[in-house]
Amino acid sequence: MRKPPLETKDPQSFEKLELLYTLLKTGEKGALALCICNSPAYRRQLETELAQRLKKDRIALHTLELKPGIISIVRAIKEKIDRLSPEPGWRLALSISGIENTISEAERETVGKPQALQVLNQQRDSFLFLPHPMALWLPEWVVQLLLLKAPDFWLVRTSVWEFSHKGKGSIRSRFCSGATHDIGILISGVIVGIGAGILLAAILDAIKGSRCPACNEKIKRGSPECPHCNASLQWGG
Amino acid sequence: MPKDNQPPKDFKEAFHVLRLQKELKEKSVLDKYYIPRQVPRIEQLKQKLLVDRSPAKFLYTGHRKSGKTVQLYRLMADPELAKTYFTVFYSIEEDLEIGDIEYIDILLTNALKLYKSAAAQGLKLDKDVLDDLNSWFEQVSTEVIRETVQEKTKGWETGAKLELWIARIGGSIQNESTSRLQIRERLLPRVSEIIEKSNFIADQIQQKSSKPPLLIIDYLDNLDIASAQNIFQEHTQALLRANFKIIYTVPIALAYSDDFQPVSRQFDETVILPIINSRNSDGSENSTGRELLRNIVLKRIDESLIQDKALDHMIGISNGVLSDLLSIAETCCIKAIATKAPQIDWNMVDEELDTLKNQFKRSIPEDWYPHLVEISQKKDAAHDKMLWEMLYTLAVLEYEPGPWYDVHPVILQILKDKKLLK
Repeated sequence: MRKPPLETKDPQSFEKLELLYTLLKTGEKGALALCICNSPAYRRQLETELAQRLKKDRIALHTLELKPGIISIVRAIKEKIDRLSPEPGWRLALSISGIENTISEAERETVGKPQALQVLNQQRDSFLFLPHPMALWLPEWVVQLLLLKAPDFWLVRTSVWEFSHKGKGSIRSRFCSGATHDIGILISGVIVGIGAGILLAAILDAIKGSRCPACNEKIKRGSPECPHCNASLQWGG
Repeated sequence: MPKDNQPPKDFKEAFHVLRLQKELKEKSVLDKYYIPRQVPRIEQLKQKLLVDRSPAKFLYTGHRKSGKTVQLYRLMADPELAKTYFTVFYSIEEDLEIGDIEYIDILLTNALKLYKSAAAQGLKLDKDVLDDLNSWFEQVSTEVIRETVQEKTKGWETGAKLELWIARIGGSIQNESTSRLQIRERLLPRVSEIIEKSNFIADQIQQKSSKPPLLIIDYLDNLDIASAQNIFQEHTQALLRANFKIIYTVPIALAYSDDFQPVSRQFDETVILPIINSRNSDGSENSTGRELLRNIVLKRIDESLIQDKALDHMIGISNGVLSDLLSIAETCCIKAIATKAPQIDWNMVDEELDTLKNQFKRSIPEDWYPHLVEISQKKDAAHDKMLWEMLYTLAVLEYEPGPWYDVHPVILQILKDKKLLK
C-alpha cells in the first residue's frame, strides 16, 4: 500500500483508510465498518478524505451525527436514508457518528444497559438490510460498552478498524495534483477549519461536565491533554 | 451472484456472497450455498415433527451466530416436512418493534401470520370464519383503524375487508407505539379469544390444505433476557395453548438459567444447536468440523482466491463461530481488493487475529482471567452466572458431545501473551 503523505503516529491508519474506502466503494446492502476513533476532529478529517475519494467513484458520502435522546439508532439511520435523494448514476454511502450522544450521563454512571445500545443489540439484523454501505464511528469507551452490553450487534459488522488520533499530522488527499493539489489543500483547510470550530464548541460543551469529549473519562479542569487518551483539550475562560 | 453453482472467482463477488444471510431463506439460494451439516439434534427434531401428532411446542436456541436461522430455513425446505406440514415461518423483527414486545403481540401476530399465509397460498377460508374474524378485528381495533377500515371497505367482500383489518392492525402494532398500547389494552382481557381465533384459522388451514400448520417464529432469541423472561416465564400457558405445532426461538442465556428449567419442561423439547467443533476436547483437530467450516468458506469464495494456509488459519481463529469466520473472510476480500493481491494470504488473516484480540481484551473483566485459565485447562466450567456471561460474550464456547467447554481460541492466545498459560 502507498505511504501516507503526512506524518501520523499511527501510519497504519492510512492503510485502514484505504480499506475503509474500498469497503464503502465495494460494499452494497448491509456492509458495515466499525471504525474506532477517539478524536472527532480526526474522524472529520478522515470523512473529508473519504468523501473526496468516493466522489471520484460517483459515490456520495453522507454523514449523520446521532443526537442525544435517540433510542433507535436504526430508525434514525433509516430516516436519514429516506431523506436522501441520490443524483442519477450515483450511489450512496453513510458515515454515522455520535453514538456516544445516545448514552445519557446517567446511563454512563450506572452498570445497566444504556437503552439505545439495548435496542441496537435487538435490532442488529436490520443493519444487514440497510441499503447502503456505512461506516459507524465509535470512541473506544463505547466499544467497551458495546462488547459487554450489546455483543450481538458486534457480530453483524463486516470489519473493524482502529484509527489512532494521537498524531499531530493529518491525512491529506492524495488525489490532488498540480494546481488541483493546491485547491485540494485549500478546500481541505477550509473544511478542517470549520470542523475544528465545531470540535472546539463540542470540546467546550463537554468540558462543562469535566469529561474528555473523546474517551468520556473524567479529567482535571485545565489539563492540556487527556491523561487517558491523549486528546488535546482546550478550556474556555 | 454467480449464475452457475461455482463459487465466485473474484473478490468483489465473493464479498457479496459471504454476506448472504436472510437471502438463504429462498430455497434456490439455500440449495446453492448450504453445506449439509449433520446435526443430530435437528435431525431428531425433524423426526419428532414427522411422527408426533400432538400440537407440540418446541424451544429452539443456540450460540450466537452459530447458524440457527439457516437450520430453520433448512427445516422449512425439507421435502418430508413440506409434505406433512403447512409451514408458516416468520421473523419477529419484521412484524413487531423488537424493543417493545409483549406476549400478547406474539399471540396476535401468530393469528395474523397464519391468515396471511393461508391467503397467500390461495386457501379459501369458510365465509362464517371470515365473518367471525372480521367482526372480532373490528372489536379489538382502535377507533382510528375502525373508522378508516369501515369507510374504505364499504361494499367490499369479506376476505378483502379482513385483509385490510389485518394490514392496519399489523402495521399499528409494529410502527405506532400509541396504537400498540391501545390494541394491547383491548386484547389483554381477550387472550383466550386470540388463541381461539388462531385455532380457527389453523383448523381451516388443515381442512383446506390437508396439512396441519407448523409455525416457526424466528428472532425471539434476539430479545433481551428481561423481555424473554417476561414472555416465556410469565406467560408460558398462553404460549402453549395453540392447537398446532410451534417452534419458538429463545435466547440461549434463558435456556441455561436455573429459573427457566421448570418452564422449559412444560415445552415438549428444548433444542440447542451446537457450535461446529474444529477441535476436540483433548486439543486435537476435529477433521470433520474443520472440513465443514472449510467447505462453508469455499462454497462462497473460489479456492484459487485463498491460500490453503490462510484458510486453515481462519478456521483456527474462528473455531466454529461462523460470524467470526465469515467476517474474517469478508475483511480479507476487502484487503485483497485494496492491495490488488491475487490471493488472501496468511498475513491478512493474522492481522484479523490482532483485531479480535483487541476486542476480547476490551471486553474481558480482569476477574475472569483465572476462570478462563481453569476452563482452558479442565475443558469444563461451573454452571454459574459468570459462565453465562462468558458464553454470552463468546469468551467461552460450548461444544458437543458433553457438553464440554473451552475458551475462544483468541482468548487462548491472550492467556499465552499474558503468560497465564504456557
